[in-house]
Amino acid sequence: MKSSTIKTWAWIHKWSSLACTVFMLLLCLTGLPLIFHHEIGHLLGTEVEAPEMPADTPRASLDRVLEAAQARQPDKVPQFLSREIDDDSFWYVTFADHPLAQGDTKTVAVDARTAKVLAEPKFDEGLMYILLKLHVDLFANLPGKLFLGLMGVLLLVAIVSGTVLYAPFMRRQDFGTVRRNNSPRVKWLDLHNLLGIVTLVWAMVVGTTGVINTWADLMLKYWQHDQLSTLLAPYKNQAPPERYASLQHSYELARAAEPSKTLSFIAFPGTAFSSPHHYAIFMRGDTPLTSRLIKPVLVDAGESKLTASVDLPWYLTALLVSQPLHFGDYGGMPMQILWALLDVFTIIVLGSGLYLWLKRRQPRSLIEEAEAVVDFPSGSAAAQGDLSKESAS
Amino acid sequence: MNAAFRRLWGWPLLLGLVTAIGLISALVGDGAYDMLSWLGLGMPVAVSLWCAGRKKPASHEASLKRRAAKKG
Repeated sequence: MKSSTIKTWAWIHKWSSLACTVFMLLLCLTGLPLIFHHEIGHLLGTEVEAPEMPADTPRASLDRVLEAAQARQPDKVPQFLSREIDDDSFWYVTFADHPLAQGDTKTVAVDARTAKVLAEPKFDEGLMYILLKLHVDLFANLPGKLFLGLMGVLLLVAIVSGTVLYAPFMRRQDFGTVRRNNSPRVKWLDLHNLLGIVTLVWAMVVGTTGVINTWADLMLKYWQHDQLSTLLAPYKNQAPPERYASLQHSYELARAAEPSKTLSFIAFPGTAFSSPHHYAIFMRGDTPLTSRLIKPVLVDAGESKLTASVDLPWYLTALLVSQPLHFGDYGGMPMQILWALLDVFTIIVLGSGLYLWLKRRQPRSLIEEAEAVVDFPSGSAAAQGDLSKESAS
Repeated sequence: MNAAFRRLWGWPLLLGLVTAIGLISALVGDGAYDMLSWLGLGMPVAVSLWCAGRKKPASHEASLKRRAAKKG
């Protein structure tokens, strides 16, 4: 590789990394416990658990479930009815002051068989909530998400430029060499290169899917504007229904429309996921891949009549498929542990990169010290001196 | 693919491919697919720990010397 090419890539790597490293360290550190949030919730006793009953115990009507939950939150309106992806023994009903309100929501967990309230879990307090908010949006809502997304893009640039720089630094070394007899700088450079190249694909995937997740709110807004508005045009001049029809009946209509799917969640009329006139009933498949792909069925909430079963556009499909690839929650506990280890390796890559930058002012350049392979035009000593200075600054 | 390219990029390409298989397989199915994904994601982790943990790295110079000693 020519010295001028290396200089350019080194410049890109240095600045893209420096700009995002502090935030990436924050994301890696907060993300680590989030990988195990279910297990931690279990230990802390904050997870809802329904009593054991035979699997074929009949389910209570959703109208009764809603009624039981509403009794606990009489002054609020329901936003969503949802359940855990791997546990259908209870429902979560989420309430807020207004269907569109984002903060200050209350959740009531109701047994799916007996329609008895099990708990009122608090999802908006405690250490795990703070970690989640720091990880998702730095407590700054959409601007925070978009900012972290931008940092994620810089991380991807740093990964690509780092991969290019792997070549000159490793040309003379066998794969996985960690030289311990030289300077500490060379040792940490070797570890940086080793862990960086080994975690490359994983870090690219987690980084890219993380960036896509930061655009979720915008994608939803665009989808509503783009597709739902066409679908809902006939309702444009109608007032929203004053009383909502049976939730259970609406759910049965959705099940009849998508018989091969199971329920993911229901958005009540007026939320960001529905329309003022409709229950949006989101159905999902039940294989690991299709369980992420949800299909909204719109049911008129006034008359409990099927309006449409909608195919999600490609960008929302991409968003939904990208989520498990970011969370690492789709392959059981061994995958979670590997996810955590790869996350720790990434922290070491970030930390060693920062260390190498802090130790950049040394008598010899890192390129010289680490015996990187650089082609100098005309082999002049002056050119080599220039590069040494440049890479050290 | 020449020898120099293989020496530099062989392991990274292999590990990248194995990681990708590990990431995708658990999305496709459960059971055996999950186990395949543990292998796929476990391999880069194992290789890192082994390389970072071994006492004496087989440096290129050392292996050249060894080869020269064998010949002589």
